[in-house]
Amino acid sequence: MLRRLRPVRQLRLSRKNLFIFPSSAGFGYLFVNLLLWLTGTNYENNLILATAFLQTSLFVVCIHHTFFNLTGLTLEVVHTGSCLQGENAELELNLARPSGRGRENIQLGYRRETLLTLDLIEQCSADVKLYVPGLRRGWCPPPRLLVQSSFPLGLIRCWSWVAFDMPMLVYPKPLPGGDLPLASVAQQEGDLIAEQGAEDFFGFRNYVPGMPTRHIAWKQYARGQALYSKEYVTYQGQSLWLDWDALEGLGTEARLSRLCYWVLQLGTVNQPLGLRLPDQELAPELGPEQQQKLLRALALYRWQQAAAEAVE
Amino acid sequence: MAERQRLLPRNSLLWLLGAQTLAMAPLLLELPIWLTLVWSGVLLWRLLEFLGHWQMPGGLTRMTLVAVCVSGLVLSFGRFLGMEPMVALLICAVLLKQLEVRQLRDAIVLVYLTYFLTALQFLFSQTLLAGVFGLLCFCVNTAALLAIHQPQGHQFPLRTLRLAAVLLLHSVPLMLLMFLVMPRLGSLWAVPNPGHTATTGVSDSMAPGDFVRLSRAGGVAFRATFQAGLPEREELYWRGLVFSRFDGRRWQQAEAFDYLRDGSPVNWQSERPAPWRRLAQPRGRPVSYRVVMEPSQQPWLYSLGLATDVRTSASLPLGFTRDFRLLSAEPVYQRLAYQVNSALDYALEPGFLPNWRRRNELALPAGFNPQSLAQARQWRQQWPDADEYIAGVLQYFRAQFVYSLQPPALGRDSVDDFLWRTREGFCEHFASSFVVLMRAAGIPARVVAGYMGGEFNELENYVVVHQYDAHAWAEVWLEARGWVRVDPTAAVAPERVRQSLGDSRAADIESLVSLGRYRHIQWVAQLRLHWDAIQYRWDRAVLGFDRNSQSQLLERWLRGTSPLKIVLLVLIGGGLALALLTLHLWWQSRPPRRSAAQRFYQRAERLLARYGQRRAAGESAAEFARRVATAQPGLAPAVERVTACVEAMLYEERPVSALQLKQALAELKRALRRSGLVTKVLL
Repeated sequence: MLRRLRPVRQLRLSRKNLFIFPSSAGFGYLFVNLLLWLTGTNYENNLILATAFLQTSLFVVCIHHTFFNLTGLTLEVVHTGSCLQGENAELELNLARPSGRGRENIQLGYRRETLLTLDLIEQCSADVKLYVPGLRRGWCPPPRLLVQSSFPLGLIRCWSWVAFDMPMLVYPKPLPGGDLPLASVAQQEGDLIAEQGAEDFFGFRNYVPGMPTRHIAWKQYARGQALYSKEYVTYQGQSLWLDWDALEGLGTEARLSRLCYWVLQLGTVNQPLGLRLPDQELAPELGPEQQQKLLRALALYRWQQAAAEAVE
Repeated sequence: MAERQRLLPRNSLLWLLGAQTLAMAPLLLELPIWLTLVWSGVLLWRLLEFLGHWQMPGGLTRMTLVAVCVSGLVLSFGRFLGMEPMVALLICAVLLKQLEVRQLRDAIVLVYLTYFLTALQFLFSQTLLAGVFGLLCFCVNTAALLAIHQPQGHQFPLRTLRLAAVLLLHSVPLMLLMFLVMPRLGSLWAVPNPGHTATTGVSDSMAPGDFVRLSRAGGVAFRATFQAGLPEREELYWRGLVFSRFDGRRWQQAEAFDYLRDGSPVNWQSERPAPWRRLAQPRGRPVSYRVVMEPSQQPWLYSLGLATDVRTSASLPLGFTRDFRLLSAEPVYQRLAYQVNSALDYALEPGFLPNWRRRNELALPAGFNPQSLAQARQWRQQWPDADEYIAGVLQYFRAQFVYSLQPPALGRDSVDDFLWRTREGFCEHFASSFVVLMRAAGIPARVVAGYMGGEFNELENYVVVHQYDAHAWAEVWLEARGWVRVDPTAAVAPERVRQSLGDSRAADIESLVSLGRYRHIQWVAQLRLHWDAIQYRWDRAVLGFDRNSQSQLLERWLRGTSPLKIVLLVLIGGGLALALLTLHLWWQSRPPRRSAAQRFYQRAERLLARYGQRRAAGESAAEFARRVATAQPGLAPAVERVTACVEAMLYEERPVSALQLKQALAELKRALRRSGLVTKVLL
């Protein structure tokens, strides 16, 4: 059934994409209804029977009201954000109703436990921000969004699973640790001279007793990593190259994760940063745009293959 | 499910409390007073908690309340099988549940219980007013269920109520269809009936003062519709009970063993007619009528003259008794309709009364009323002929006695006291003393109790018989004619027979707040007749709609009740009802008709889209125009003109002529054709 619902940018809810079924409260209601009917029949009491029949037909009428509470609503995805793998990306939705009846108690969400409830009683449209888990690296389509309502009486549940074709960009999951995967060319571009008391933070180096204790990276140590010493350097040549090949012996995802970690770490360093991947090279540049570019390159590095493997 | 754990929208608690108060009110009237007190306490607590003054009750309070409810139930009823204890138990459950409502699920359970309570009030009353009130309860309860599903909407109570009313209005056609078509299965198993309700109407014995009390009881005993014309008012003696045993003060029915020699004293419809049925000889054309009896909690039914045939669609069997009246197998707990054929001219046990029967109908208790017995013997010597004797006694009554609604109390020898001392009495005094005088003179006689007359309602052509029409008269056995009705009251107060007691003495018998008391005012009398006619119609059409009326109705509508026809009726009727509802809902949520500006801009957008230029979501017309102009400078003038038109119409509210719009579109088309052939996307 779900296959019928193709991913779209904008969806108008209608009988083609809505499902409807009594809720558990609805079954409880029908049970009470049955008890009433039995009472009315046993006492041969026409008014009790009439109440039971009124209850039954209220149930039937509710099916229509619940359906009409959702049908005609338009869901449009306005913007999708990006995120690290395993975290949540932002998804901006616009929910609009045709003029006429107000719509109430519309629930949106990716998990039944955490649904967002909103009403469109007076206003005709509303912007909604949802948080979508980024599960796979690369262009990741958001999972199907559950849109449901059991308005008016909670007896009937009407719902749809909406797939949007606006994918989110998911970066690799950063994995701390390891040495800074600097390319050997770094030395050629300019000499790094480690200086005691230099101003710029450069990176970490395994702590060896005897190094100044004030440079110990306590933060990292506290996270359960090895004891590192922060290195402060003064740069000559000024460019850092993060290199795929410097992480020999690791798998593709592991290398991407490390690289991602370092791109994020070094993003704050006032230093041009470059990236060398097997099939592309991004020249060192400064600034947050460069960081975005590098992350994007990491996210999209052979992502289709990775996705295919993940599916298998 | 996750949604059930949600907390309750705040104001919906008020809806819940309101719906419950409404639904419980009529039930609490029928149940012990402590339930009302407990309910008021719970209501107050919830309201104070709602206002933030109090906390939700703790465990100890709730345990105390459980103890109060349980002990109250045990003390008040002492049993759990029975209708009142069960309803009381249900109410206790609602009370206790009400104190722990926090979550949506609890509230839903409460609303469902309230639906049940709403229906249960019809066990106690089924009048038109009760029906209307029940509908109101149902509506408010539906509003409560609606409110707990409205995150914001419940803040507008009128809107919630209106929505609930719309839901109900939409449900009514389908409900009517189900009411008409759903098969009536009849009682599936025995159910407890109301236990405590006091019996109303004529009871199974008669002592001085009983009928006086009855005349002030108020209320309707039964209503009867005559198929042909209405009989004379003097013929409207509704026989209900026959009293043959007298203990000096109280008259009672004959015991079963009084008729032992004739076998069973009751001949049920399902059985073969008993041999004693032949003792009754109907003459002349029977009168046919339908009686709708109000619940009396007693088994006797009322009929005119000699009932020869009786039918009912209720499941309880009816029968004829040895003293030729009608009986139901069970007390009449609910309104009962039955159809009777009666002979107004008849002969009962004529010609010969066996000795054992004669003994029963002549028996008088020893040592009571000696003065009356002596006087009777003396008169009998004076008038040896039975007819003469009867006429003589009636003459004595007529000359010396007063008909009164406030008769003085009587002593041990009640008949002596009445006949020779007070000489002032009500129907039961006349009937009782008359029969004693007959028996003392050797004429078999017995007291008959029932109703006399009734009020004719010409609006609906029926006779309504009130409790104050209760009456007692006598039957004497004469060899040639069998049992003959004699009404000594008529001899004393002929107006009692010609006119209803309600008409002649309304001030004495009707309560201050009833319409009947003021019936001498003409518009009140009219109003009273109309109101009774409406109730009667309600009784017949709604309450009396049973299996028979159902099949008759379907027969009339469908010319035959084949299952196929009924299925078709349900499908077509139900489909029509739902189609109307769908149409209404669709009409309310249909997309609005677009304005000229919107239609114009949409056509332009379609044209541009055909050439690959699509407006993004949320992009304004001006932004879009700028983007198109950058991408396709050749289109710029045409797009700008279109945009200008739209903005003029939409934002400046300046009218733009249709010609101008047409030209703008044409220009856009030309521009697109010139520039865009390359980029045209085939759709």
